[in-house]
Amino acid sequence: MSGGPRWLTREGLDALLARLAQAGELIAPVMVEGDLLYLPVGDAADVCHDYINSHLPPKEYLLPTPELLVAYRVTDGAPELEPESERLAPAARVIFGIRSCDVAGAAYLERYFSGELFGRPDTADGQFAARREATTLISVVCQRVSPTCMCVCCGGGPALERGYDWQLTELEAGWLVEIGSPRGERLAERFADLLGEAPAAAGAEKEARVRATVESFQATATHRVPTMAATRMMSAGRMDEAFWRGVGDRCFECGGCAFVCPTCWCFNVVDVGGPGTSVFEEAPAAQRPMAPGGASDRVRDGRWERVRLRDNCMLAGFVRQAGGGYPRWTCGERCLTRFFHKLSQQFQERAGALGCTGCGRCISACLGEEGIDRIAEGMRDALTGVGRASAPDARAKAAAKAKAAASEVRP
Amino acid sequence: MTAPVVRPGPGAAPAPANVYAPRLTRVLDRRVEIEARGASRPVVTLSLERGDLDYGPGQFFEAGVFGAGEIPVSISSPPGLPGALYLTVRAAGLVSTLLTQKQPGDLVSLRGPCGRGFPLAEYAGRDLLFVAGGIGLAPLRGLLWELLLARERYGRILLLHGARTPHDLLYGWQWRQWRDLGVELQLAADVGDEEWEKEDDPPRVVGFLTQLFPKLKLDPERTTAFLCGPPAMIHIACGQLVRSQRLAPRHLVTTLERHMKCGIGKCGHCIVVDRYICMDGPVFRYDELLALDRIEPPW
Amino acid sequence: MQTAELARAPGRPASTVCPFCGSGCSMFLSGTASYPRRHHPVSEGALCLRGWSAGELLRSPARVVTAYRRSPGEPLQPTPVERAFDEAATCLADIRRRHGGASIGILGSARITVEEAQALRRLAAALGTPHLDTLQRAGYVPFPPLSLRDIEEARRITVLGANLTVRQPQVARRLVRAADRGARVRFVHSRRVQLYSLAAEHVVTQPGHELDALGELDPDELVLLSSEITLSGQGSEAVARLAGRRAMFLTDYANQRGVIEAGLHPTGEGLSAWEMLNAAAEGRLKALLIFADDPFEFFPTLSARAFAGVELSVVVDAVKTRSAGRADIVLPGALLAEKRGTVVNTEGRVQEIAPAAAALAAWNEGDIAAELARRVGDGTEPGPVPVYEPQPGGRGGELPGEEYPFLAALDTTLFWNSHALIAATATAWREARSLFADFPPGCVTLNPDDARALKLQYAGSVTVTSPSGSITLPARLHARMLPGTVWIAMPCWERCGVKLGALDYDTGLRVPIFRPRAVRVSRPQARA
Repeated sequence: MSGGPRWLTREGLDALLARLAQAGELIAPVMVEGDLLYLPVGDAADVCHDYINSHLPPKEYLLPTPELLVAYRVTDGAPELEPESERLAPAARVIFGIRSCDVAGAAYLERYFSGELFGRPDTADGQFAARREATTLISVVCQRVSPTCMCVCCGGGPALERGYDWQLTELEAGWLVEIGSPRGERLAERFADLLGEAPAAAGAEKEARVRATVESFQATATHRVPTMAATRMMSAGRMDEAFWRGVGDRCFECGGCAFVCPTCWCFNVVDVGGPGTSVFEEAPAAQRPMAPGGASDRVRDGRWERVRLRDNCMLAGFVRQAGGGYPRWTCGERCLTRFFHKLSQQFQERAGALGCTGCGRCISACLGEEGIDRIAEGMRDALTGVGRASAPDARAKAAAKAKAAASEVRP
Repeated sequence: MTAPVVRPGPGAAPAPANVYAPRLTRVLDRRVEIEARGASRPVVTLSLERGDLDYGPGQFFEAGVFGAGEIPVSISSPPGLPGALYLTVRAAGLVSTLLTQKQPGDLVSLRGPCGRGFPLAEYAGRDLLFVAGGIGLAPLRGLLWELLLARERYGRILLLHGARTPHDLLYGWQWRQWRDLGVELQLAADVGDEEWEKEDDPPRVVGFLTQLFPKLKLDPERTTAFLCGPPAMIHIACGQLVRSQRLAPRHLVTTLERHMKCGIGKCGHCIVVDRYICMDGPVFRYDELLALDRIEPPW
Repeated sequence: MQTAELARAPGRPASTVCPFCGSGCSMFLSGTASYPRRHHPVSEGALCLRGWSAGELLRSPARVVTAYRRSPGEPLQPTPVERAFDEAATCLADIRRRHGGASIGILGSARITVEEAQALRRLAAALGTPHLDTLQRAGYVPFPPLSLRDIEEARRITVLGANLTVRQPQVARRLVRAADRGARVRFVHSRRVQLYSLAAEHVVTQPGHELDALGELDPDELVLLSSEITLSGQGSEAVARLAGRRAMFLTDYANQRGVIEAGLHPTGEGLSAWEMLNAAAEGRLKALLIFADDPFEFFPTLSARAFAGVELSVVVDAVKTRSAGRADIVLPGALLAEKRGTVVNTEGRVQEIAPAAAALAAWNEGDIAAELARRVGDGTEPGPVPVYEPQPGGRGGELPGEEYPFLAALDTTLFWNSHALIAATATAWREARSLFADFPPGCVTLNPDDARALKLQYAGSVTVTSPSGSITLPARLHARMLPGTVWIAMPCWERCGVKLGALDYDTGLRVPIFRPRAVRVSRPQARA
């Protein structure tokens, strides 16, 4: 990018946030009822600066659900598409405070929806592209580690080499600003009055801080993703049926892991009418529509929307074929699918990056206490021939210690 | 708390084409191929206004009914035939049932063509064996017709078509035309009936489709086989052709079917291992499927 | 989902409680997407699929956004809420005048707030009727409060007849943590439930006889039981057996514990919900007022007779239930997410909720109850809240014998907690729908070994015969089922219960039950 890294004083950052908030463009971390959420902020004073990460991924700003795909009207039984111009243009926004793991996720999704996986730009999701283009990410390099963080294992942080728009590192004297994309460049031009040249030693100070964060992780982490072992086992299909059955046994098929994961993109498509537009008569069982109010014998007049809803490849209905075929009948088989997408070499080559950025959210979102770390550890154990990692007591001690740590650490 | 401001994004380029927006196409004609009877689901062919749509054999369209959704339907007509586009649909679920009820003049939504079709150039000069189980003949018919439009380019063309009962055999009204164009046709029905078994032309057997294999005299060096049908049938038939007829797995070609939504490699519903049936398929070679089978059975 | 409207909606997400099961997870609503709260002692960052789909209820096409009425023999027509309310109030006043207050039956709900349940008590008193109950009381038995933390920290846990991952996922999650920490977990069940692999001990019993197999309990042993125990007739036995123990009944509905503790149960001369339906069917009740309950869900035949037997049926609900579709007048209710009030989860934890989303109609269940009381009632106040104390009653299930070597029981695993709400979502509905789409006439579930012995195919039909009668349904096969048992899917509760003579009434808990019945299982006779 043009020039080297830039610099923001503390006052400069405050001014930047204030101006963005006033322009109605700022999305930033905010505390709501004890949880950290990324929300539109009208007053920069509301921004929370003391946190590690949110539980809910900011990917909802790039891939909101439900999202309108196509709208149409049915008149006297005949459908007609609504003109594209009726759709909202995405608002220009800046997400401040996003973490490297989520930026890596955004880069992953951007490539995924572009159609590049197949060399087919004609299949690019234009809506996603427009929204990504309109959203500038100002990420902040982590200097603290939470009990569930695992970015170090996955190349998802604490700092990124590429894929960011602006990457900020808080140093002793101010903020190091690395600009990594044309979007970032445009933002820099807009706030040129606030940006200065980075001091000479800033780069080295950043490296030292990043190293310290990594060392802190190595020393204290109770959750890890042994990606090399997991990739080897996944890619060659070497985990046996008993392993997946065990994984499936603990899976509650809640969908949560995909909904919180920064790199998950699965979605469902349903046709829905407006609130209250369904009819009272229930269709015969075999003809029950996929969404409430859907057509079972004829399409009712009115305005309909074909919407994108979040989905998860581990749910049984995800693969069910008309007539009752289930190519992946057991939960264990579907778990295999998910972790193949996340960890295999085949998918890494296709998608351009590992499917896990180490954000650790699946650990907290999983009802069966089976985050990706536990799955990958099982694969490493199988590879190295060691029995299940530790006896229940040892693991419980570790879990208790982590829990105690978590209750002090702010989100 | 200010409301989000709605304003065009930076760059202000015109909105790109919406890849999820279908075109609306009129039904020109409708033919009932198989009537509902007992456990047999109705099968209907819709001929649709083709307009300027171009496609290759083996590709499919996401065909839909507003309010119900879209399903992948293979194209049963050859690209070389202008004017109409033929989709043969079996009433298996909600959307397919609604499609089979469409009448001439009704509108159907189409998106596509989708998928990777058959690489025709590779088949020139070869003997071609079609193995079609039940509704599996519908996706293969487009390819068959495309080959027949240039019959002299290919060697023998054999079609083995089987179904659960004689009632479920497809396109019976066209078989004469195909045989006149030099297709060697044989039939199979898992469960026969007296009348059907009395006839012997085309040659037929009561039993599983693969029972027709042993009597085939194929030249494994020059033969490419196309298989389509229920997943179990594909797996068994491919295995038998490899073992007993010595065909190489890379010369066995099949089309796979999965639940689909977007048809353009985004929603993830049709993924098998790392292949998207809608983008990498639906046409696959048996050797490709064997590689996938090491991780997860694709059938 | 009317996405355009939502895209313009400003404001920060507000939190509410999930309307599905009794776990009481807390969630944020952002547009029509729900997200689990991390900083909350129940949800702790996770939801089940129903919770993740809850946001889809807000703008669902299945919402009731206006009122409906019908002329006799005609279909329901939309009508302004005030008009429909006036008609209901006038008709109700007329019935009260001619037949007396006790000719009116009120069915409440376990998915309304405590305050709304109190409003229903006031309505009953003002109308002069003792008949107030809910079908969603469904086998609830009271125990002192016990927290999820208690489960997580317990050293010995017994799970009685419950598939926790489906019924109460947050309880299951704490069980998983307890097991990981080395707790001794015992399942007493007639099925190998999911999480069976966690159990140190799995006591296999016949359905309906789980309590017999309980054995001696440690003083600090925690016992978790579900309505599978109570709906098989062992309710009062469970209360007696577990008195003074650390026991938790896994409530099926969001506020089941709250509304029952607030007095929503039969007292004095009041008929129970089941008795009300029967009384209506026999013409002894002249009006049914139903607030967010759905008798047609499990008892369509009885409910049809009940609705036909009364002069007036009014259903107030947020979603279009089957009952709403058969009523004379339908009035709009609201979702928990749109209300202010109190909800009590299975732990006994009291949660205050405030509206997290805009309601779609001006009134909700509580408003309508209050207004009806004002319009039609005489101002009589209800007495003190009666304590819920199930009486002894109910009978245990049968045991198989030579002539009838199988046991047929109700499969509550396939109970999604509030089917009407599930059917109003898209994501959870897609999963629940599979059962209906795979087996349109309903189904029974068998162990595959039994099926093999009978030469049955998956989804082939099977005939189940008891001394009272027989039914023929497609067979679903699942290796988790105990050999020698056949499980009736909950949507078939009434149909199969009546045919097999298993549908019964627990006189202690005063709820309908399905008594496990000794049956014969065979291939259907071939038809000519």
